Amino acid sequence: MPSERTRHAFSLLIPLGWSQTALSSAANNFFNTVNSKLLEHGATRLLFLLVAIGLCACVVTSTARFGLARIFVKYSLGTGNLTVAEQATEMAPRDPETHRAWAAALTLSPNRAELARELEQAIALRPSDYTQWEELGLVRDQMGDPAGALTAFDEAVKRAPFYALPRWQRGNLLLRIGQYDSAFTDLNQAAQSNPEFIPNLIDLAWSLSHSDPKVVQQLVQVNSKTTHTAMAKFFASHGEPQEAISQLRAAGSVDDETLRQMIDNLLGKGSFSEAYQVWRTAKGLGNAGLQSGPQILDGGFEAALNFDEGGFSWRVPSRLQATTVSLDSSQPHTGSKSLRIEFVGGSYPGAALLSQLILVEPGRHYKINFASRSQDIVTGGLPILIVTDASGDHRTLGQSPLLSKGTTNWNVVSFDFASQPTTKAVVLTIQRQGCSTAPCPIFGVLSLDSFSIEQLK
Amino acid sequence: MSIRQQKTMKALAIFLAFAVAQISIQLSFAGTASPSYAMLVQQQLVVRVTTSGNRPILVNGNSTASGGSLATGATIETPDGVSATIDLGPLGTLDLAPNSKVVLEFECPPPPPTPPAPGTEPEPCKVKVKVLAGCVVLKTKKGTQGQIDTEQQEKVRQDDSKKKGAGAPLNFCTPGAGAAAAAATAAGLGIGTIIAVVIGGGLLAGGVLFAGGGGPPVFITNPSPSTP
Repeated sequence: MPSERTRHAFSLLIPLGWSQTALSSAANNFFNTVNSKLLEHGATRLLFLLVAIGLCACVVTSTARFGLARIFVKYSLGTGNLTVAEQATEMAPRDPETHRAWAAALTLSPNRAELARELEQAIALRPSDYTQWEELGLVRDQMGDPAGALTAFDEAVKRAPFYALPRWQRGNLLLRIGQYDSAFTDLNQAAQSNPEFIPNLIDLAWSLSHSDPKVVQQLVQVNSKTTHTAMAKFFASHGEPQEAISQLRAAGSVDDETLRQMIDNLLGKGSFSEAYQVWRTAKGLGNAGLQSGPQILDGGFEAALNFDEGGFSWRVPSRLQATTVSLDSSQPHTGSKSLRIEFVGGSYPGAALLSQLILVEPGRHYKINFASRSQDIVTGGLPILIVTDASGDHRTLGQSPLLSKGTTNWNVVSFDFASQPTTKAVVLTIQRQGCSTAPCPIFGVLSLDSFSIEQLK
Repeated sequence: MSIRQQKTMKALAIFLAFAVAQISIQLSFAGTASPSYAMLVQQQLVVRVTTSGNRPILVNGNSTASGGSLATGATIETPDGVSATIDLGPLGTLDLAPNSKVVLEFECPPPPPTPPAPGTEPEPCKVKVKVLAGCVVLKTKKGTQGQIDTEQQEKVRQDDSKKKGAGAPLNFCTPGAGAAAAAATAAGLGIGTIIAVVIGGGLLAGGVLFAGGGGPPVFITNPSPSTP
């Protein structure tokens, strides 16, 4: 007779709604039948037991082999051990992961054919996995089998039509075999799906077009803000300022970091006028450019100083040796503030204390005016203002007289300079003249105010 | 329906047919106006990048992994622990050790309009590698002239390989660049190894060893960062 526990377990299998009497009766009938017909002989019982044990052993062995094979897979993927990967394949030949792991380990060996075979086996076991097709395509491509590679990439794209990587890989292959129409269709779709590919696409288009920005814009057909921004940066850093500005406008509003990069790229390529346009946009100053003539921005130091300035306003180094630069509202020459530079010892004479990039026209004469005041200045290397060409050989174009030592009231100082035929911008720098001996300390306070520039006839 | 109405209907039908035809013609013109990329780009040699473990290198400052392409004039930079092979197709191959930086230029003369006279050698293809840092190995195929320059314009020119088949590999390391050499030996699987594998595999499965990076030679397991 079955035990109470077995009867209870059996009762759980009975659908709801059956009466307890019916349940009890059914359970009894079942177990009685089994008892009487099958389990009454000891030999039959033993046979059942052996079959059950065999089945369990089989399941345990298979599970263990599968589990061990997966551990081997992890190990071989982690270490690239070919022997372990092979062992895993022998343990679980019907597991696509083992073949894939072996294939991954084989990537270190020069035997591409064996690698392709393993991948094909893995694909046969799991054909719906697009990544395996993609890997097979790569391997076949490396084996010099572009047709086979294309077939594999086609399968990958078929299985993941909206994913970027299969299309990117297929596009690259098509590019190399000269099918440019299909190639750029794929590359554009890949970049549309994953914007991380946009810079690569632009760079490829640039190379293939022999640096023609118009052609690049026709080849890169991804109409998005990210693309326009990437193209703007690319053109800015490749000496195509007009195209850069055009792409920046197409991008619409962009973040400050992008604008800063654009300004840096344009300045790096000597595109000062375009950099000025972008800088004014970034500062919200409108589109006025050179039309109003050269100007020194914030010549009266009325606005706050920005230590991160990389554009056309005053540039103050964030780290100055034994020197403090600040705005002073105590006794300005004009307006409500002036610049105060306090020297407290051994500053390097050649270091720029303050500078500004100024747009000028080539081959013209200019005059710079400013007011200076000294307080207890003691040094062997007095401050001076220098104008240098912003590009090319950075030649010095003009310089002020040495600023006064000791203590003086406000003095208005002027000096001239002439731009070279190639000059498009100059840098006005405040620094110190070198001493005849080292070290060259300086003490005291220099105040500056009322900077202006005028073009001479 | 009166005769006048019939005429009106006919006129209306003709007008509609004409309008539909116009729209069809305009649509067909719009269809043919789609860009043909092939017309924008001249046929040229584009070569393939293969990197160790499919890990990315930099091509013109852009991250590029195996299967990527580059054209002549590209600046290629391999990071620490990643080597790369540039398959130059019919011209040969260029191997870059980790921490190398080169500018790669290659060109083949266009085929002559008429077959060359007997005895005249065709102009060879050229591969020029300017090594800015690291170690490179340039292997050229028959009919290709290889050249390695340094940043200081020192030149190591490979002999023209037109007559004697493929040219000898040309190795070059910039001063201070260590020669990359690593050999791994595969041992048989003893009990101890299996135990080590099981423990190591278990740790790897748990992500313990992966936490340190390391760079296993695996395929791209993260399929795509794209939006599906």
